[in-house]
Amino acid sequence: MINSAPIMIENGRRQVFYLIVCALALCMPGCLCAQSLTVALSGNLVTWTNATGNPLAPGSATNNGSAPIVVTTAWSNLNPGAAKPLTVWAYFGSASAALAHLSACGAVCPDIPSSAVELRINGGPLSPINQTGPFGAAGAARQIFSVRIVGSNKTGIEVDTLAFNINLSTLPNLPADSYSGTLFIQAQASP
Amino acid sequence: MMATVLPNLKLQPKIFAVRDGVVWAQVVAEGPDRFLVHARITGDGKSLLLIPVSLSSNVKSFTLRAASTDSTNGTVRMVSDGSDKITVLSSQKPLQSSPVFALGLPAAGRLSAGGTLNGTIEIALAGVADGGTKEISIRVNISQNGTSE
Repeated sequence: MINSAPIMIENGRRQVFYLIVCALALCMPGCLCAQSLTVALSGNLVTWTNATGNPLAPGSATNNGSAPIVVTTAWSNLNPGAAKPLTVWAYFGSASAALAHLSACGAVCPDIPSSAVELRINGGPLSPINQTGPFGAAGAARQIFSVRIVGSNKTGIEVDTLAFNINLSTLPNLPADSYSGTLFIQAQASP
Repeated sequence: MMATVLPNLKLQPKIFAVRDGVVWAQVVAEGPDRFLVHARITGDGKSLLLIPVSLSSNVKSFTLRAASTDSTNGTVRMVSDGSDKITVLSSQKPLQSSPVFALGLPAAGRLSAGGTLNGTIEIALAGVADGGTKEISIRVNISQNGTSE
């Protein structure tokens, strides 16, 4: 009898605990599985050089890159009905100097702007990298892929092929030089 | 991403004239950026070859060089017709000294010596003593400043 009272109190605490756990579980999304979002690239170098047989021709609208890059985006257990879709972006850190000159002539030498770099996504039309996105400098991005997450695609994979072109039709007097830049590929989704 | 714009330099002779009758000369184009002057000098008078040329460049600066295959007494210089894109600095250089006789630079307010330019290459040749005859060859070329051939 003396010990029965504490036992009853302990049972009551357990019931409250289980009630709280159940309430939390009801408030959570349908699955407590871990979320993931990854981007993988088939390569990391695109060139326009004599060695690859495609040096830049100033004044020409067509300067194809040495090779396409395949972007594989994989995700799992994303939140259906999230406010923002899953998006993948390509972007530069600078709009005016996406590919910067390498010669030691200071800041006065011209660079290649991001708007002159064009992407052909999955064989579509060429599009300049001149959008403003969530990453990179203003006017230095291009959306590659976008999908709204619903119940049926909360886990998925997307493969996009990017072909590159540098349109120098507005840069007919681009001087002889080497130019270098980094294009970033990044994905984002609502948690 | 790596991209390269290759140097693109052209130096092409047009017709040329000989100022006097001491020298007979012929110009032969050897490529887009060079030509060869064959000359036969007769007598001991001085002669002046005026070779109109057209050049184009996409580099920041360039040089013009003349090299003689033998010991030729004479001088060479470039006279520009003027350009708002390219400034040419040149003074008379002996053919037997430094082969560089002209330097092409960006015109004022420009970033590179890119563009086209017309001008005249003047080659002054000394005559041959004792009324003899001498044949000479002078190779003229354009190259990016900082590179040598």
